[in-house]
Amino acid sequence: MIFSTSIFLFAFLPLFILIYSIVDKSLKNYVILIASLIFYAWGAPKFIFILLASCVINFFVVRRITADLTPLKKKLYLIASIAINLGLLFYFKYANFFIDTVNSLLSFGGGSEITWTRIALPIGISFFTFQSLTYSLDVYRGVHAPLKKLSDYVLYIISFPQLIAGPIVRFNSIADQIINREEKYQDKLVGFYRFALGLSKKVMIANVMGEQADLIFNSDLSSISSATAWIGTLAYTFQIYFDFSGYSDMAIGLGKMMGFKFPENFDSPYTSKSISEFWRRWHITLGAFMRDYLYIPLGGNRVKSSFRLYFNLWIVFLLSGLWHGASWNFVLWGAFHGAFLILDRLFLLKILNKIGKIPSMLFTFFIVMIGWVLFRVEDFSSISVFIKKLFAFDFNSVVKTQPMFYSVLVFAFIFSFFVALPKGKQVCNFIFNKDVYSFKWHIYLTIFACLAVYICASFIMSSDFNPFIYFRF
Amino acid sequence: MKNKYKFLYFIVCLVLCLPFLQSVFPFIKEKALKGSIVKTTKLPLKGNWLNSKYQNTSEKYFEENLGLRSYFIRSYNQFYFTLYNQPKANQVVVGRDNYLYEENYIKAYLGLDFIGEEKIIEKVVKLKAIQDTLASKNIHLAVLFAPGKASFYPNYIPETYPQKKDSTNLQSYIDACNKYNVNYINLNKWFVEMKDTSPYVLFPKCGVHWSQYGEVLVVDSLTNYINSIDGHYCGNIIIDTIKVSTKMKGTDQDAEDGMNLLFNISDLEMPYPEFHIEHSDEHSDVVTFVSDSYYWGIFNYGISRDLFNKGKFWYYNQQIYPDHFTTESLVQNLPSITSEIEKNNTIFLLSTDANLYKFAYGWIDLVYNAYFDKNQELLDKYIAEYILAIKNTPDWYAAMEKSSVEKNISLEQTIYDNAKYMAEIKMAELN
Repeated sequence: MIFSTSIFLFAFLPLFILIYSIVDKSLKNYVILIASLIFYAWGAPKFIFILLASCVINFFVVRRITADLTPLKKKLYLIASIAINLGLLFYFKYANFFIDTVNSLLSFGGGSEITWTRIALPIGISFFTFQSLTYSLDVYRGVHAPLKKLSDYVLYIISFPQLIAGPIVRFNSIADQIINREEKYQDKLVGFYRFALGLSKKVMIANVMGEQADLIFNSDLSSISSATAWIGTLAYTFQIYFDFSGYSDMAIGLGKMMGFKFPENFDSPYTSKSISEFWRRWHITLGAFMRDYLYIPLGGNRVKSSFRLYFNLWIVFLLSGLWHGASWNFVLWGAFHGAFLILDRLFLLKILNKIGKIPSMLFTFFIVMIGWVLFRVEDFSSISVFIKKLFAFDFNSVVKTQPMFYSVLVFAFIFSFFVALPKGKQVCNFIFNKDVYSFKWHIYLTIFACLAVYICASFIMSSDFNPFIYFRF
Repeated sequence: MKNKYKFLYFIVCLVLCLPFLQSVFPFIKEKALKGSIVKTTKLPLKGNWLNSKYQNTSEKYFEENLGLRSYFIRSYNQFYFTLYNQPKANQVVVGRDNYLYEENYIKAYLGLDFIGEEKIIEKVVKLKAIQDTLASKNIHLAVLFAPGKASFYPNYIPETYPQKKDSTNLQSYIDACNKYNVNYINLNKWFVEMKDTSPYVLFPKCGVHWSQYGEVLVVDSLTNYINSIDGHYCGNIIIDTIKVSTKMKGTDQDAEDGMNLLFNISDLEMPYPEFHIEHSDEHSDVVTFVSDSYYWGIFNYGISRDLFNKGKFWYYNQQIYPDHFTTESLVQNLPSITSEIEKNNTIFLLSTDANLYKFAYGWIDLVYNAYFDKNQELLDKYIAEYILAIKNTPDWYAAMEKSSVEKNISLEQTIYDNAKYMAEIKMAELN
């Protein structure tokens, strides 16, 4: 089940809100748990049992970490927990990729390929695995005590707002809220506004951009013009941002409706003035996870040599790339960003600071766009063809676009960059950082949010409805 | 103070519940969506859960039956049409001044769907053979080339379409019919010639079929035609009155209906004639039409029943009306195509130019084969009967197995060869 469907908006969500609102406080977590189980089982019926089994095993393994054991045994339990989580992730997400790579090498060397039945990927595995790891590591490090109830732990892992696409909610940031949280109707309303905003971003901008991007990237790339290639790149750049940030907004909003405060995941990343800044604004929770659980344990900024520092940075970004998808182009994308992070530390940041805000923003946006080409196009030969097309400067042909594309593109630009202006920053703070509104504003925002949901619903329902006038013979 | 926020939150819940409540307790009257759509059937949970088929069909079924859906879709379609001048209906094209077309008609007019002279001549030659055979049985066969929306209103076709090509299916068919003396009436040319002088509109702005007035003119023309043929007669259609209205009836805004908008596109004043049929005591021709949707309007007036002596309407040479209204009645299930055809006095093959690329929907080959490959048809039938007999007779089957081994050919081939031999003997005895 996904948020931008009729069944979620007009069946699952209202039913959940109603039941959640009327049950006693002691039962609310169970309501979330049952709803989340139904949510996940609906979309991934085969994997729910694997997910539950891994939750149960992990819960009891991690509980042993806080038992009266020697440090070595505690460490062994931690290793076991990490092995279970990463093992599952590796098997379901990377086994196909690993076998394909081995087979490519074997066939290159003249050997016979390994026969292998391809494994299906459980949805959300990358996110709930990382959440599970934060639980194990935070408990091991003594940052927070483990949860007492298995049901609370399962709730933490599979809570439906952030299960499928994040944000990655670290255990210590949410642990107390699971046990005891204050719920105010003002917060629930604010949560609904945030949900409506996210839905609008996804349906009205991301989907339109995505339709155009797919048209171009799924065509014969060798025959497109430079103009078409740039339109495709722009389209995908905005598709991925509004899709991902929209989904995060919906997750944060739904969490707020339940009394949870999830961390922010995006902070106008396209206004970044360097790649370093970009990674402080894009998928913030992933960046924080990688920093705290990978980069710092590798030594962080405290390593002795610059070479070691840059190497660590690059490894973190290679793995970040691989986390996004089991394919070499994602690794290349990670390496691309890692390289620019190193360049920032070497000399690029100084240059960008000197040239001024707008040129550095444009330069960073340009680099990010090129990165998205590596992210979108899976095979290397097609990447090469597409990049060449971008810089062939062949702008003679007219680009065929979907009717809504240009008008939505204007809005995409505005919403991506207006925050760079002082007035834009004010509006952004009003929407994202303000928790308390006057009742008058609540009325306006409620009307606006309800309208937005209904407009999105009309987009959603119309996307599949394209009848012939008469039956065809 | 807390209560007012609670109340507001309750309003939010109510708003989210409204569509579902509407589907259960319809409190607003909804205008049904138009157009041909295959509705989703919900699958049972058992056996369809793990493969996600139950979930996928349930989601579609839920959405298709959700209350207020028509408003959601019409709102989006209206927005899309108003801002971008694009219809959300398959094949519908918005021309200048919001004249609506189906794209097939534009392609036909411009010659973009031309199938080639060779194919057309092949069909017309067969048609001539059928025409002559039927004429020997005093059955009149003729082709009716109905006008198409784009042929009638070429000036409203959007500029984005290419120039008209030299060859079109319509012109090639007319040339071939002239060359091989196949009977036809060029209603397309007639309508275009009448356009500026006709007192009433012959084609609507937002529909893809001819107007009701146009239909009545065609019927009148056909009765004159039939009555002019020796040995043939049907009654006459008399127009009593013609009412004009900007409130569209019938198919006069079928294209617009398919777009499912919130607001009506401004229409022309359309004529709606009232008429009656007059007969003499003479035996009226049984007239059957093999036609596309252009005959529906005429059929629905009761013309086939009242004027053409209960003649049939073979819709796209597939469904046979009016029989198909009550029980499944398909051309492919007819026990004898020739017997069915010979029940008629006149047969018309009607097609608008947009459907000429598939004219006459398989009827020509079906009837040609029935009349001219009769022997082959009979031989095939006998072969099939003998194959079955061999397989059902143990001794005979065993002999075939032995023969197959001795001759080193497949058992199926051996059976076929023997069945064919027996069938040929039988045919020879019959002849």
